[in-house]
Amino acid sequence: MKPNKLNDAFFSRLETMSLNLKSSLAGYFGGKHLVRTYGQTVEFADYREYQLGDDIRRIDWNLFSRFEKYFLKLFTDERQMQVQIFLDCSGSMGKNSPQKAEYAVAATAALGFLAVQNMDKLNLCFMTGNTATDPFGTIVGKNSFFRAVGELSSLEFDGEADLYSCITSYPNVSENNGLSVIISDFCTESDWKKAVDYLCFKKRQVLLLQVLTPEEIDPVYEGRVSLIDSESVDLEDSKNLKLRITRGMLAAYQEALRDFREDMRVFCAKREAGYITVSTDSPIERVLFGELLKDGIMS
Amino acid sequence: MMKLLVPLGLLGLIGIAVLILIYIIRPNYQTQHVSSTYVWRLSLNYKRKRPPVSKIRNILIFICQLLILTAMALLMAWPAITERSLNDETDAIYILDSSASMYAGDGENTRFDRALSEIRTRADQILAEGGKATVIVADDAPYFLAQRVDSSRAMRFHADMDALKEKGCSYAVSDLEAALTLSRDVLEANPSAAIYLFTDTEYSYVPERVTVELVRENTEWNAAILDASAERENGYYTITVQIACYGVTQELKVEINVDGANSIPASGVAGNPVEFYKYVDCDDDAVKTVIFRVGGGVEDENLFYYDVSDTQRFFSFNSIQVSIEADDSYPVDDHFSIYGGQKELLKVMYYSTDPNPFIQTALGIAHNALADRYDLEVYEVKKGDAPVLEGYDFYVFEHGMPSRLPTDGAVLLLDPNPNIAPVPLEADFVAERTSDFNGSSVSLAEGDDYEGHPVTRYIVADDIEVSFYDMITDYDPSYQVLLTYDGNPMLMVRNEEEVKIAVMAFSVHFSNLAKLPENFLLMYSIIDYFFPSVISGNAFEVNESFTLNTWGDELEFSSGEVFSADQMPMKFSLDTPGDYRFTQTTYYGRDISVEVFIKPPAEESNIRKTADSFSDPYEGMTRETVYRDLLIIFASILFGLVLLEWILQSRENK
Repeated sequence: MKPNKLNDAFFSRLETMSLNLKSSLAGYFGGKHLVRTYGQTVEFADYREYQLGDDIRRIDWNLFSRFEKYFLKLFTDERQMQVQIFLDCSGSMGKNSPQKAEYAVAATAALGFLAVQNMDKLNLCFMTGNTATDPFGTIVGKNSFFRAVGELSSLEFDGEADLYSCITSYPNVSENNGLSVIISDFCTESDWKKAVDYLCFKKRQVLLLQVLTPEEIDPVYEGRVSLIDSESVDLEDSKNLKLRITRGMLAAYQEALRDFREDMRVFCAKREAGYITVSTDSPIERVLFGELLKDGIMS
Repeated sequence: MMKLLVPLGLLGLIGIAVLILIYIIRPNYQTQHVSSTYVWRLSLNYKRKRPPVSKIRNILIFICQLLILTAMALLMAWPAITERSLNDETDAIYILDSSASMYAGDGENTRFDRALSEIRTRADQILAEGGKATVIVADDAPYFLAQRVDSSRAMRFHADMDALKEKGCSYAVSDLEAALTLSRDVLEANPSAAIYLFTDTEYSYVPERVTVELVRENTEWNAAILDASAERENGYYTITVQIACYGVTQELKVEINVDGANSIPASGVAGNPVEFYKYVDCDDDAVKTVIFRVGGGVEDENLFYYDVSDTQRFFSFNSIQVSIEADDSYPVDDHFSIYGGQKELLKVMYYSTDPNPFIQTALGIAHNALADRYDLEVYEVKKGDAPVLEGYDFYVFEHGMPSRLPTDGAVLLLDPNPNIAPVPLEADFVAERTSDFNGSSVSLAEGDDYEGHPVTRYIVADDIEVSFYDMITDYDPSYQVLLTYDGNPMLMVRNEEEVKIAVMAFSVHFSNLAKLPENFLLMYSIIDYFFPSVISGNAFEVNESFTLNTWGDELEFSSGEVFSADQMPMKFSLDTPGDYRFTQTTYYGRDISVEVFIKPPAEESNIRKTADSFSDPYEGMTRETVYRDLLIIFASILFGLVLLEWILQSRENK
């Protein structure tokens, strides 16, 4: 699979963008993200009275002349975040719909680029089966990033992926230091909600990016159809369905899909997690400059 | 009736097989690979429960598709219905069964009457509507009573119908096939004419467009005497009667009345009447045989015996009346007469100057051969006695000729040797003893009238050899020469009103005739030639032909009709059952009478008969028929079916 969206023009348009993460995150030193803690930047944040042990160089002498008290001048801090992108590499993401995989990979690359752009640490985690592999390790810097992006073309989408097991078993889920993005169609029996809860428990900012194809959003089948699930083992697999698809059935599908999305949206809202659902027929730029901006994740 | 003008269009029905095949082999579900069926599985919970009408709908769809294909095939076959013929005239042909069984009835009306009345009613209706009516009477010789009559000839038609009703039906068997052939004359003029057959016979299959109107009633039944005969057995007569009962099972009483039992007319014994009877259980449609005989016999299911006692037995009779007591629907066959119990006495005189056993044997054999007709009584004149010249029917003179010929009987002159006695003048021929004969045997040749003559019909002329003969030098031209030698008559006959002479011009002593069967055959044939049977039997069916002969100038029928001797022998038949008498006075003054019984056809006694079928009178008839095609109707049906199928399909997809 060769994601043809990942070209120089695509990345150049992301140059001006950056991830807008929560300021409550702790992060690491050296990043570009403003946090609530006070640091050594030049951007003024607040004053406080001098206490024993404070660096006298930070005393604001102008205030001392006015109030004859020692006040320290506090500046905001900039931290380096750890962005983890969990990409669902199950069959449903690309076995029968290459555009879906391409779209997911493009989104992964875009978010990863934004992270690297902001000098954040980036982890690309590919979820397959019960594990999430991190073949590129922690990516810092564009060189490492583009090297990793070059490897994305060989990514295989097959089999099942248990989102909960994959995320909870991932060893590098650190606490309160960044953004976790789950890119999937979420059409899975695994309990992804627990995975989200797990990430929230780790005080990570969470973003769910649901990628669906137009056929999944508005199926055009009719008559007697044997639906073969891309993750099914064989024809007798219980995931496969034999349906007489009528207009009533299609209406039921639409209703089920709508409720499914609404359930995700409510769930994420309650946990202050971001939730974006996209169709692969809409341009990736629309997701990045539209949905993510609107959601505040990107600025 | 609907007709397919292009039957090959029905090949379109193959589409039904194709449709069924498609239903059998088509994949039930089309396979569709999707990324995930997760949402589909969720949607199952949202799907509303629906009643199982879909199965019914599927069946209806399938039926609709079948009907659509059928309608299409029928459309291709070009369905049409027959309209009226181009000949707009309404023709009705009424064939009236006029067989004897149509005499059966309920006491008031016979079947024939019922049929006639119905035909009259229907014909009136046809004539009133401007049509034409034809009536064919189907008896043994079917004929048109009325042929394509219209209303302008209605009066004549009714007159003919009245006459037919007066005449009644025949006692014969109807020739239905001939009647149907007659009907084709009308069909030639109007192939659309309808045929109605009024009959009492039930047919298993009736050709198309022929309507059989059954005129019999279920309550009608018949007890019948099918046949009866009397034969002499051990000196006494045994009577055999065949009876049957049709339409009912019942016990029948078979009565026998013998008139003139043990009579001897020659002796003046008149005889006595004898009566006896037998009860017989008759099953429906089963023929039973009843035998009245001295000593009886062993009975079985269909065979019954009556033991005729010593006081009832008889060796001769004038007539036997057989009857059954039955108040049935067809009384024609309840009675039967048997005649022939008295044979005519034929007196023969044999005179010879040198009697020989060959002539005596020939007469004896003729006696036996003619025993069923005549009681041959032979009187042989003792050698040396003078011949008897009167009081006999047949005179045989051998070698020595009489001084004159007898005038009251036929004469056979054997070897009229002029050396012994001159030929009587009345014989009208001259004979002289052969003088130039070389003494060796020679074969005789056929004479001028040999061919087909009753006397020589069994004779082979070449087989007869003679070594001496009497040369007949001159003879009356009324003689018929049957055998010759070297042009000389060897056997000649003369059969005129009062002169019946046969002359054989050689002696059995100088011939091989004595050892040939021709010896007996000649004697038999000469007697039979001069004394033929007045009638060829005593019982015949209606319209059965029999032969009449006379020994005199004329023969008088019991109805008063007289037939002259010039017409004899003649073929005769009678069309009404009953007893008839023929009387005559012979040339020699004897009064002779014979009775005959005409019986109805036995097959007509079955008044509930059935038959398979009869030939189709319309076969081969070219009909100019107008068809009205049904394409619009079938197209409409097809459109409706397609619409219905579409509606069902659309409902199916909701």
